[in-house]
Formats: sequence, structure tokens, C-alpha cells
Amino acid sequence: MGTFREFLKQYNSVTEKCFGACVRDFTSRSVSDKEEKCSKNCLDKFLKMNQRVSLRFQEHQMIQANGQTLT
Amino acid sequence: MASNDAYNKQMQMVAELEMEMMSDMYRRMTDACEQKCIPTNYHEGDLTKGESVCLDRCVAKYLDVHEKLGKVLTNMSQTDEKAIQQLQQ
Repeated sequence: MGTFREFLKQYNSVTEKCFGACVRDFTSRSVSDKEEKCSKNCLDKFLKMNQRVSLRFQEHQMIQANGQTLT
Repeated sequence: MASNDAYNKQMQMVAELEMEMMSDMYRRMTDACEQKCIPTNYHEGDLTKGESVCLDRCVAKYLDVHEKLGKVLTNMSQTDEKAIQQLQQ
């Protein structure tokens, strides 16, 4: 349940962020193609960034754990 | 034994706290590195090479700073404890 909660929070957070970055024009009520593309790119980038950070973090943890078992 | 129980409970609380703090740190690190490395134009959905390298370095530096500051804080609190003990004598 905890991870699901985290997932939902991230969903809300990424919506807010991508909206803030991509949707600037309120002369129309519908989302333009440009805004839609930007939002999807934004989500994509967010997911890939998270993946990479997670990977590097785990690598660091493993290196640290190994260092400690050696001492 | 009762004292064993209390010790175990405290150890468990410490472990849970450490996990919670680790999660918190991870979240802050992700936010910080995003701000430092990912510009907000979102022309494309993939990470550029520059952004990828920046993220790698950012994570490494963040964790390094976290560690260094932790050592300073631990030192400070140990020094404080000694001072308090000396005052009580």
C-alpha cells in the first residue's frame, strides 16, 4: 500500500510539474498538439531520470555495503 | 528478558527511522538533481548524453556531501555530549 501511495503521489507531482512547464497558453480551452507533445516528453524524461538516479543510487549502496564488509 | 525486549524494540525503531530517512533523502536528491540537470523545455522525451552524465555526477556528489555533513554533525553531537558530561561532574 505504501508503494502504491508513493506512485499516486508521483503521478500528481509529475502532472503539476509538466503542466507548469508545458502549458502556457490559455487563449483556448483545448490542449494544443505542442502542449500534449511537451507533456508526454516531460513524463518520459521524468521516468527515465528516475530510472537513472535509482540505478546510480543502488550502485552506490552496493559499493558502500561491500566496503563495510571488508573492514 | 524484559531489558532484551526493550533493546530489540529500540533497535527496530532505529531501523525503521533509518529507512524512512533514507527514503526522504532519496526523494530530496532526485528533486535536487532534476533541478540541476534537466532543463524544462522538454523538446524530447529521452535523456540527452549531457543530462545523463550530469545526473550521474549529481547523485555521486549529493551522496558525498550527505556523508561529509553527517560526519561533522556526529562529531558536533559527540563533542556536545562530552561537554555536558564534564559539566555534570
